[in-house]
Parts: sequence; C-alpha cells; structure tokens
Amino acid sequence: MQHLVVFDGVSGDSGSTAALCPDGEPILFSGLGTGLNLGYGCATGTCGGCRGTLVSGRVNTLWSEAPGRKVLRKAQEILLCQSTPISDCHIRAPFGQNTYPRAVPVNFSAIVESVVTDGDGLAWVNLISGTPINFLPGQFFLISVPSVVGFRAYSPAQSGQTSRALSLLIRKKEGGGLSPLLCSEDAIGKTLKLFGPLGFAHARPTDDGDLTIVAGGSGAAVAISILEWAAVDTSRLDRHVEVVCGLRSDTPKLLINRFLKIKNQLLDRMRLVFAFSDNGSTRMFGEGIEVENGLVHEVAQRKLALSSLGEKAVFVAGPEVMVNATLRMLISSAKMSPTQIRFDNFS
Amino acid sequence: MDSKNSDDDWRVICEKDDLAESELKEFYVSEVSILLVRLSDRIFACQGICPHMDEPLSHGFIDGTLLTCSKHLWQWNLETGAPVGLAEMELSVLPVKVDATRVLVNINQLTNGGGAYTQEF
Repeated sequence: MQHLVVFDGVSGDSGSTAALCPDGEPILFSGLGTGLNLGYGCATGTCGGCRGTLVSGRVNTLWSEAPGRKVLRKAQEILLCQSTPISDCHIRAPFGQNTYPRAVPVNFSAIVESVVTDGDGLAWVNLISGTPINFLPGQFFLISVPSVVGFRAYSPAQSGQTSRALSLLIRKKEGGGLSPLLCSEDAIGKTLKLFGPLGFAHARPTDDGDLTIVAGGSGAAVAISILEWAAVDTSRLDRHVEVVCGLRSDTPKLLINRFLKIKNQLLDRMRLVFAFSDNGSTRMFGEGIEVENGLVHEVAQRKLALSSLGEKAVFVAGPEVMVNATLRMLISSAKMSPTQIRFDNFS
Repeated sequence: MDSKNSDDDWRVICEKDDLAESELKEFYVSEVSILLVRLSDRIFACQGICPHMDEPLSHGFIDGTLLTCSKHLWQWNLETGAPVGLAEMELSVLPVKVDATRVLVNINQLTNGGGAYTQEF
C-alpha cells in the first residue's frame, strides 16, 4: 500500500511537493526519489540531518534507537530517514543543498561479484547492478541486506559515470553489523539492496577548477572517485589536484596502486602525499610521491600551502575524528570559508 | 551590570582560572547548556547548543571571535551572536561579569541576539 506524503515548503526539480511512499519505505527515500530537494546528512539515522515535523498523519519509526533522534525536540518531530507512513501525511521538511544538478536517487539491487582483501582491514567489494547507475564523483550509496537492520553508507571508489559496476572500499569493523559480512568472501553472490546516489560533497564537473582532497581510511574511496574523474576529464586540462591520503600503514597495496596509477595519468597536475599514522613507510613509491609519518590532518597542515588554498574546493572524507580534526585545521589555521569545504556529515 | 538584568539572574559558573585560553568549555545551569570561552582578557558566553541541529558548540572551533559549529560549519560572531556565512540563525550571547576570581553569567537573556556581553578582567 502507498501513502501520499505532502512536503510543506519544499520545491523539487519536478515542482512537486508530494510523494507516494510505500509501506515500510523511509519517507526520505520516497521524497528524494520523487526529485524533491530534501535536506539530509547520513540518511541512516545517525546524524539527525533529516529532522522534519509531522504536521498531520501517522508514521511508524523504523529504528527507535537511532542516534540521530537526539536532535528531536518536540513530539511531532521525526527523522525522515527512519519514519515510514501508515497514513497519508503532511510534513514540514528540511531543505536540501540545491547547489548542483544531481541524479535522482533510486532503489535498486546489486549482486556482490567479488571481494578482495587489502591491507589495514580494508576490502574492495565489487558489485554488479542490473541497471546502469549514474552518480557524481564523491557521492555515496546506502546498502542493506535482509539479515541486518537498516542501511549503511559507502562510497564507490570510481569516477562518477553511468555504470553497472560499483567498486566499494570498505573497512571491516569488528563487531559491526554489515561490514564484516560485506568484507567476507561469503558475501559473493549475495543480493544487496541499494539506494542512491546521495551526498552533497561531490565534484562539480562543469564548475570545478583546482581541487584539494584530504582523505583518511575508507574515505580514500572519495579521493579515488574524484581523482579518476579528474584524470579523464578533458574539459579542464589545466586543473591541478593535490591529495593528502591518510592510512594506518602502507599495507593496502591495491589502494596505493590505484593512487599511483592516477598519478601516472595526471603527472605534474597531481600532487600526492601519503600520511602513514602507525610506523611510516620505507617503501619507495616513485618520483614525486611524498611520504609522511603522522595523522592525516597534521600532515595536511604541514604539507599543504594553506595560505594559497584561495577559492579552491577542498574535499574532506574519512572517519569522524579525522574529518573533525581536518575541518578544525581548515577553519582555524587556513582561515577557509565553509563554503569552500565539501564534506558529508555522517555523525 | 546591565540595568535590565536582576541580581537573581547572575549565576556563578566557574573560577576564572578554569578557563584556558581559547578553550570552548561547556557548563550546565539548571540543565541548560552554556558555552564559555576566554579570549585573552575577555570572556564570552553563549548558548551551548547549536541552534541548527543541536550539536554541542564545545565541539566547535574558535578563531578570534568567530565561532564555528563542527557539524555543518555554521558560524557566528561571538561578540554579537550575528550569523556569519552559512548560518541562518542567530546565537544567544549572554552577559558575563567577573568578580575577584569567579565568572558569572546572566542566563536571563538566553534569547537570540544581544550585544557584546563580555567582561574584561
């Protein structure tokens, strides 16, 4: 059964302010899937960025213990990503960032084609979808499986383009719900449910000039996505990119080789700095590759010419602590305007 | 003291020496969160929770009198509470006074806007 959800004060690209929401589907998904410009952050119940007000109607809560519920102030307030209607509803919803045209997110399924273990607890999980998916470099997708409640967000480590194949870089979190399953060879052949693309911290192919990327851990997927797009984009052959990639060690050979391959394509248009937090590295990475010991935000502060970031877009992706430390550095030390900084908030 | 504040509104929050330079420190008064920050010889006070998405502002960053929330990088001028850049709402700034050693904040004005409620010492 479907319910009509009317969104108050939100105008989507289609001009509509209503969406049909099937039983059990998050209101956020139905609204975004209809092309409405709704605000959100993680879309998985953690950040609270999709807080709205239920003006009329009734909803069921999908995850009553969602951490993002801490932002709810009144009884009528709900998280759109964790609410599904059980009647027609009228909702006052947050606005999204209407800063760039993006593909409308869709529900689709994909099969795990292969799982390849890399270092530092990372794994490459390669999916194949029945339908081509179009996304912008840096966007993310939500994934769920029947045996685990809720969705998790993962970024493809590939340039945004119409493709049936998605290559995800996932860190296996011990005790986690979904990542141990996805990072296991037992996942091969399993069907996953996905929703996306999502996220505002993406490259803007028609606008972006020089770029800086600070990424850590599995956030390196975002860096790879943007870099691979930059490497094949022929519209701006004068574009320079600089990347500081933080890893625990030099053991993720596949990931490091992806960076080196892009460096070989972009040559002197790309500056590549590896920051190894555990024991540094004695490996020879090749000419022009900078290797530092330390946390990625500290290395970024040491190595980036912060005073010359100017109006460049700076992407930040990675674990919450790393993102917060980098944001602090960019705001307080580099005196950057928040409008230059692109990051998706997952916490 | 500002004439519109009564004596009852002033609450002792901490000792002056409890505030390290440029540290964003959260205190609770009657279960209401307030944020104190010492910048050189001035102490500022404001609401402790971001008016946007309820993030504790003690998680944020301070650069001069520019306060930034870490969650969505909303910013305010800490002297006035006026929004800067991406911020769409004002911040409630609170009157501060310092006696011999103690920092007092008037919580009666826990509303948006206001003046430069700081105390030099």
